[in-house]
Amino acid sequence: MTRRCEETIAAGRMKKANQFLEAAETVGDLADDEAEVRDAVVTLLVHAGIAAADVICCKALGQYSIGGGGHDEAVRLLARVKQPDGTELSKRLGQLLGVKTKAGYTYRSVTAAERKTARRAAENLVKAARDL
Amino acid sequence: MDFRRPLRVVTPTLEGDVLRVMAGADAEFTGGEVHRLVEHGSRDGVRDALDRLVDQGVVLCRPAGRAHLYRFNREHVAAPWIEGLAGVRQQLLERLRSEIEGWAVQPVAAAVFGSVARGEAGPESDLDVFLVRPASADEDTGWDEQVAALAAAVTRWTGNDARPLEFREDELAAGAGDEPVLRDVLEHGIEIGGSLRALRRRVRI
Repeated sequence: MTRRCEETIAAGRMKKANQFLEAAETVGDLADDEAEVRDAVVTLLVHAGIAAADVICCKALGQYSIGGGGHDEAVRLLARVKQPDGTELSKRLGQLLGVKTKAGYTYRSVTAAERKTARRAAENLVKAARDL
Repeated sequence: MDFRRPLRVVTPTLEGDVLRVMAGADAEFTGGEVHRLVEHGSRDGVRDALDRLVDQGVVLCRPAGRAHLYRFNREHVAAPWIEGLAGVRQQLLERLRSEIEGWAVQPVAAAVFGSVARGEAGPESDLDVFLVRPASADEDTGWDEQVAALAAAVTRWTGNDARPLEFREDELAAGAGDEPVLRDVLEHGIEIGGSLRALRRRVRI
């Protein structure tokens, strides 16, 4: 499902994207052992990326995904954006959503490579949202 | 240049603003949706602009019940130029990043802030550039010259004045984040060099 987006929603989601990304970096920096906080960091990166994708969709399409249509819905919606490059960014969002369950809801931990991918994906999405 | 309405560099009419919205997405919009995203003009005015763009073939229209759905025609020979103009804000930011990346003396942090970063700028707005000068950048290091060159380049690139606001690294003690300009930079600034994150940590209360 999608919802019509107002400027206040875009501004609020941008604030959260910044907040989640900043928190992910801070948690990672403060840990003695990076592997001990990896799932928490990746979960924050996922939230940063989702919030940034909402901002981009709000500004380019006037609507954003509110769930209910599966993860694919948000990815498909973002892929329709052309300024910035929604095709590329939707792949990054797909990477984040692909690791969301493992990081946040299962007993298994994400790998260092998955964290690296998630970090790059979240940074790309947040940067694109800020630049709009 | 009007940072919010980039196609005004070639046309002052509503068609430019409509094209910016249409080129930004590979999606169908109703006239009302385009009007909402354009953020100004009347609903009828936007619909008339859409119809004129349909006449030019650059926007496609199909009926859907009682409504009409509009889509940007990316196969139109003019489409690449319209897409380019619609993205000048991002291009300007990338150009600023590239320019600063080439500096001999790197800033601790650099960001666009103020009305442009907040999306409130008009055609007369200055481009506010926040810079943190490293402690090592004495007068003879070329720092002042590279800042002046950046300001001149911004005017050539956009027609707008650049207004650099410089802080020295040693001015940014813990608690400095309370200062209104710094708060604006930290909340809304768009990073174009160095690290805003490092700056945020440094001035945190």
